[in-house]
Amino acid sequence: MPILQVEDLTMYYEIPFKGYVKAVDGISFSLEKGESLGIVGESGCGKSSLAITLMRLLPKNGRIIKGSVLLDGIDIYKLPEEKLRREIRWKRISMVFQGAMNALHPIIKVGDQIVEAIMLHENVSKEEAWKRAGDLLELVGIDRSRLDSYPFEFSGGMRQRAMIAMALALNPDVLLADEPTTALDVIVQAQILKLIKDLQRKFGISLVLISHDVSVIAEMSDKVAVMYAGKFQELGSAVDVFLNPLHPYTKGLLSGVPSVKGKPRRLKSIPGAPPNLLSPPKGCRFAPRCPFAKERCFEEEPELVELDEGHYVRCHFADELREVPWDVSE
Amino acid sequence: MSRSDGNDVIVRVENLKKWFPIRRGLADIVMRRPRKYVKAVDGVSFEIRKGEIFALAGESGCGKTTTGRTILRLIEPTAGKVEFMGRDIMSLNRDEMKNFLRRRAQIIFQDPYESLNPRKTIEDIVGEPLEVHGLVETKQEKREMVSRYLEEVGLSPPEDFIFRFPHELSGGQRQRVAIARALVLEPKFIVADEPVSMLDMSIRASILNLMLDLRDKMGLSYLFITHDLATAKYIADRLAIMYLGRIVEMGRAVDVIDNPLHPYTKALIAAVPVPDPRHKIGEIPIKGEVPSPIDLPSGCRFHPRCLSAFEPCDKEEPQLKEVEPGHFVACHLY
Repeated sequence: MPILQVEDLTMYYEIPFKGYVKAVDGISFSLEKGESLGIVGESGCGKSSLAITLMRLLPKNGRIIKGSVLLDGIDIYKLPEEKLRREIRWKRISMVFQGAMNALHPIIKVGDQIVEAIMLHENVSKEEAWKRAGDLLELVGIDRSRLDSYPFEFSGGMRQRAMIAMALALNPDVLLADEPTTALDVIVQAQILKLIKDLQRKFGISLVLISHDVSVIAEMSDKVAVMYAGKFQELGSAVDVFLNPLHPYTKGLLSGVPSVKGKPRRLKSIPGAPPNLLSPPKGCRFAPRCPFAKERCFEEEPELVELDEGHYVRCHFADELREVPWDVSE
Repeated sequence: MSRSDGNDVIVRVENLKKWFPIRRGLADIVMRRPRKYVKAVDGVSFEIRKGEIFALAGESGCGKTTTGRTILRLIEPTAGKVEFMGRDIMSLNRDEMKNFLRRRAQIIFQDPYESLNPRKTIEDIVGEPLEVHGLVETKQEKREMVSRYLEEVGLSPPEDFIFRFPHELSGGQRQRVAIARALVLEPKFIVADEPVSMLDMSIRASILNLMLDLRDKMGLSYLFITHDLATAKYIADRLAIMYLGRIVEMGRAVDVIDNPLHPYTKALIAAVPVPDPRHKIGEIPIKGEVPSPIDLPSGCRFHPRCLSAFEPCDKEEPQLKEVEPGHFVACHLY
């Protein structure tokens, strides 16, 4: 049985007098133990909204319209909040988010903050919790003597490591990482990504990694979902999605990414801008930007279908366009 | 360092330094402790040739942005020399600053959300430099010029844009407006400071391609400042890598990236993620963290983090030397 099973998850933000922002619109996926899913998309595509929906950390105007999130068979939206907080959140599913390093309390020692997180959830003595906090810091490559340091004595990379230590403090089954390295320099980013990967392997944690950075997703993920305008447009193994993309949006996105490896080629972009999710276009949400769009695309919304084994795509013409590369003149 | 003979060079920077003094506390003054400095740029030399895209790359705090601004005299240098089109920019008086440097050299900033005045229309934003320099006399002339440059940067038809405000445009469109504003004075040289890093992935390529096309069409030269080596490899002809205020390696962009020589460049390139799921990030050949730019390490400033450091590295500061044709490195290994 998958550790995380998400079924038709739909979360809209209610905007008074205007309607709903359809940020998370019918998302389904499943994640096995130890597996990593990378979710890639541009700003405003709903990927961070999806992350907080999976954690059930919705803002006041967030509405679950339908769907379910099953964590090890338990529907987290059917639990009372108190039970969720005590037994599920952080303990079985935890999160590292963008700028998390700034979430540490500035005038409480790092060690005390980790100890507090442990003791809130588990019935252990202070000494025991302190020892575990030290083990956790060492796990993320920080000397345990630094338990006595304040966050301002840490660099950005060290604070992000400390946040990862806290996210792992209660041995979660699933780690959600939303842009965990976006504010960091490239060398620190590489070290943090490698750390997450190593810990994920070591403890068999399932990872959901969310990023706008196509290359980061490629490095880290077994499976990849491409999100656009609130929906998964393509889902499959990382190798399938990157080497044999089926959705025109994926093709467009990948043809605009420069690389330090290989011969330079002319990059291509996607014309236009993403739609406003308050009133997304009828039919396929990518159709207004798609050079291959036909009449049907503007009328009828495509389903996410399994075109090849384990490789899903939401496009009426994906099969016909299989061999057609992204080629737009600017 | 070898020099090209004058005529094809648009910008020559020699031993440029910018030290920012740190405020001293009362105790420091009483104890007569010497004033300390952040050595943001500490002895940088390079040339940019006509029609060339020269990239400065490095991590935050390496001095790349300060270098770019000092070259335009938006910040006054502490020491060193900058020649622009053969003239020493430090010797320019007020009039020459306005009529020569400010007309011939322009800048594009990172954040198109902050660099455009939100209360002005696109026409006024792009037209302002023309008015400041007295290059247009009537509203009609201004509109024609603005329209021409909006068209040039791909905002067409221009009628759709001239009356709009920045908040009505997407990030990519705003950056095009910023480019149009830089171009109306027909400059020869543009400093582009991280011009695509705030933009979405699907839009970056179009801005980079626009900059490449404008270079070809208008014979522009760029100083392209970036933290992203993949972007640098795509756009730049030549590339310099900066670390703590110094250039550690410089050469053709493909040479520096495909065949890095300096241990720091090697670490940087090993850390760049690659858009291919078959590639996996390995161990990064570096140790420790970036030291404070106030108390710089002795000798080579990279030596405390270098896995290849040996005897002379903590004593002698290595100078840039040409180890392959056109490929310079500042490292005692070579």
